[in-house]
Amino acid sequence: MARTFTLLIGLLVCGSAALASPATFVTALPVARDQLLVRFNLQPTFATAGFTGIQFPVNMAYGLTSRWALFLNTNQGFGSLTEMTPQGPLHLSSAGPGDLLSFARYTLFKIDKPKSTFRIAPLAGAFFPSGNNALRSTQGLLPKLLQTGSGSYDPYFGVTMGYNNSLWGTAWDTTYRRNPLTNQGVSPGDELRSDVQFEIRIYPLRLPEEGLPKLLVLSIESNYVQDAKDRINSISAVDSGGKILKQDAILEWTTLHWQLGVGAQLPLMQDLAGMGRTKQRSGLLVYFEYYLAAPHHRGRKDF
Amino acid sequence: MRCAIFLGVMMVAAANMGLATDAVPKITRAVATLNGVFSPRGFFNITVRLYQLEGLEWAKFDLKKSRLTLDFKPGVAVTEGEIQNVMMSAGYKPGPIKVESLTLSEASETGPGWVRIKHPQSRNPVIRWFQLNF
Repeated sequence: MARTFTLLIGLLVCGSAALASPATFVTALPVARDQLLVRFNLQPTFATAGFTGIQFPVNMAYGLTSRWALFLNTNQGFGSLTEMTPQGPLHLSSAGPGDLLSFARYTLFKIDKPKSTFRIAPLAGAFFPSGNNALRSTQGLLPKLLQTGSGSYDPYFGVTMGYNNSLWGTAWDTTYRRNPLTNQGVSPGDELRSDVQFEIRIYPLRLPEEGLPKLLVLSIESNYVQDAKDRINSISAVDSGGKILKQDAILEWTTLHWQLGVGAQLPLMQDLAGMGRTKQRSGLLVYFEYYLAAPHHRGRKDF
Repeated sequence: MRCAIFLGVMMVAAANMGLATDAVPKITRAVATLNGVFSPRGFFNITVRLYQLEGLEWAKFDLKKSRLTLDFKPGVAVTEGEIQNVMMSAGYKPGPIKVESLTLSEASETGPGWVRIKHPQSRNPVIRWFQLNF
């Protein structure tokens, strides 16, 4: 059983400081105090073994203080798989919400200069089991690829870093998701993720002397995911675990109040243990991000 | 005697003119350099805090210079410290700030980068939030 469904959630949970922002991870997203950020994503994925999936993750971030930010990531989607059996092709599918991720980030270190900015921020939180790890069809339990959750409360922690100047920027994060055993004695393997992003402004080539132009930014991103083996009654499952490296290219249109991103994703490496594992062929990314001022008390002056 | 009356009238007229000159409304403008803001998104982080700055009417963002210009309503004063607090609360390190007094004709309320700052007044917090954001 593969774990594309949960991997897709992971792709969008992890975000940068000042230029645009990474599209495939949100951990480094800049969030000011009293700011609400909402990002709507659409992610179709095409894979071998007749798997097609569409995910609609929504990322929300709130600036509690200038250093503390709270994140909430929900995911919902649809997956369809065609399995070849001696009786002919078997069509399986599932839909529903995935696990809910909530985490807090603290900006531990920052250097703001007139021409550049740099930040390091650790983060910690958990995945809540709002997804389902026991979805069934008439033939029995659906393969893991079609399960929408891990079935347990999963601790999640990591660190993120971002550097930006007026022309280019870079962001990086590494996170770890611990998947404990569920009551049924099964668990997906723990997940180690590392993402890196490089972005450059491509329009306008030269900024005007005054004003705030809308920007077109090219973002190149890499996502590395290393999965430990699944556990069934404390025994490691042979056909599980592995290493995946993906490459993304995204164009981002950014304004004062919103940002729109469109991109493509290709797997560079899929080192998956076991036989007959489903591999991703390609993916698309579309997201729309809107910035809001959080509600505040009238006349409050507590800068 | 006529000369004395004439001089008196002239002095009163001059004084009135002086008063009239003093009564020309002026606005306060603050120009601040920001550190660490290189995108529209970065300026929005500041804008969120500007909503809470009483009397602020217009803000202008200059991306290339990482500079913020704030024009206040006539008669509303602001200090460098208040502007610094806005920037720090948004998570940025403030650069040099200049506060000056301008006549209305010198104030630029339109043009590239100028944004009108909303100050919703509804008593209902939900309506106030919608007025602020949409």
